Amino acid sequence: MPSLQATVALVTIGVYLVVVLAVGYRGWQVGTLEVDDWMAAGRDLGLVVLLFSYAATYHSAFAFLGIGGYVYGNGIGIFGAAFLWIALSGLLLWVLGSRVWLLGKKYGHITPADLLEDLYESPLLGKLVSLTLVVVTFPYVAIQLIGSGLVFETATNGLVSFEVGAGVLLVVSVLYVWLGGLRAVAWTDTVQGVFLFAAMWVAGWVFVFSAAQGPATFWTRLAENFAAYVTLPGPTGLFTPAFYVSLWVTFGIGSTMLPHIYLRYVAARSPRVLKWTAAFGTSYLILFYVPTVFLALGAVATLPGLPTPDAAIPTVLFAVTPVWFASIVVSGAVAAAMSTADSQLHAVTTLVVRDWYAPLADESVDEETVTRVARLLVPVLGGLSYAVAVQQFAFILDLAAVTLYNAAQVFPVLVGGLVWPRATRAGALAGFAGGVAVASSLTFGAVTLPASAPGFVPGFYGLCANVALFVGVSAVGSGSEQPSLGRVQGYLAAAVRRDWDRSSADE
Amino acid sequence: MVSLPSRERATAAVLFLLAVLALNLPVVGVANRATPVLGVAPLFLWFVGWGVVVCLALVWAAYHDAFSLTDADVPPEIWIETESGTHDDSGDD
Repeated sequence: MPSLQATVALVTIGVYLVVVLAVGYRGWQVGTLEVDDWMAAGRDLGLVVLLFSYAATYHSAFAFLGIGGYVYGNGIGIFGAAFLWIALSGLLLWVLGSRVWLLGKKYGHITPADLLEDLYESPLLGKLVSLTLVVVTFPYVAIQLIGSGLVFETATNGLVSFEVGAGVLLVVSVLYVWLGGLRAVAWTDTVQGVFLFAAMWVAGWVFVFSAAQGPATFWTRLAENFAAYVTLPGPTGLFTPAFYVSLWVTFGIGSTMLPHIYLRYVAARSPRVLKWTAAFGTSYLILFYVPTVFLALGAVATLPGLPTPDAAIPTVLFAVTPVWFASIVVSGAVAAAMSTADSQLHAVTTLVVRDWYAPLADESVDEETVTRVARLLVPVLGGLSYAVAVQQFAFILDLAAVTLYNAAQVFPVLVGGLVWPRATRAGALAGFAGGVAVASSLTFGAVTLPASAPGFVPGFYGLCANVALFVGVSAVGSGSEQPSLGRVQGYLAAAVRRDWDRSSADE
Repeated sequence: MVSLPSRERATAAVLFLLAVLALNLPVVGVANRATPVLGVAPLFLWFVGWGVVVCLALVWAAYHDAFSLTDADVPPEIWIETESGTHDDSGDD
């Protein structure tokens, strides 16, 4: 006989999965086999869906599990950095995303490689960027599966094993990604986004008003007994100015270049949709974290010495709130992990097919065939990520650590290509390759910096090297190397000036 | 036509930059104490307060079309090609 905890968790997750599948099925019904439709939702996502899709995709398992572990170990400094990287991502979603959207509409770009190849007339740069993004995003799918499997196991009190839980969630994700592409992913994100926001807000406030006797008592007790956790640099001294600033800059930039976020720029119906998604999406993401602090610090105060800090939030919920309540809330973590995993699965598939299969395929291959290949690839990549997830290889966690650091390296060459007339192909190649090499070398310990070096995160050192190489090599090269740079920059400049006749004449 | 920065654009940009500065070290040190203020840890209160300012700055900017690109900047050829301009942005079908 299953326990109350397992029963409630199974019913909640079961209902959630049925709803998500139904929504995904509906996405398939209205979709077509055109490449634009499967990969970019027909470039027609409206505000409500894009807003929740952006927010739910942005907040991965980290928002429900990782942030708890971070606060448990290092105090609340992470919230200031997180608000800043969310704000930067929001601003870039509007300012950069709307330009990417316009160029996508005009020239048919979908992936970052599409745009960079066109800008610099360099298939090599496109392939390099695509390969890097696939390599650093794919392990993240496995990480989300690991997170959702662990939550499944915890919520059902071990009745459903980690392997079975991750498998069930993967099968459901693969089904609707395969069927409906980005439209199905975005629609299901809407359900997931509402669920995880509601779960966190209800849980946080219920916890602080019941178990902690109200916010004032909660904060007073923390100030008396755990002062280091509510001040900077935190109990471990992690949040130095160099670490703090470099973390939010790198994460903010890196998040905007992740392929599953980037695809949402081209999938919007209009710049107006992107603009409001930036405003309300940023609000959603920041406000989501407000009650998180109660649960994470609640674990600090009530559960010292947790062996798995990332499980701090689920553990404290099961320790101090009714089992049925905790089971429902923790199921929200499944939504957080799943809403990112499905988007990443779709994005990796899109990059592989669009950037690698399509250029190599025979010219007679039509759009429907390309889309069918993409759909076939979804279960294959999903199966691979599952195989990796159940092994729980340690190197997967290492690879995930470089995801944002390496994704951030796309930013200087992309923005430089959009605004800097003297940017060159050689500069972009040198900058991107140098940035990835520096970020990865420092992350994996292949290179160690002297103790006197500022304590920036590795990705920030990569960005510095990237910009220096990009600007330096471009400056000594020929500025007129790529006519397409002038074409694209001219088109954007004419749009901002609303001098459209001139932009057409320049074509 | 190049338009000069509007008052709305300047307001949005200043609010946003102010919040970014306030959330950064060393400015955030102003609230770096453990003793609660208004029943809340000052640092967390500071984070949430300026986080809300960021949100409001972006909503204000969006309401006033303070940053480009906006729908009005999109060349007519794009709307004609896709007919997307005739859609209601709030819809999601």
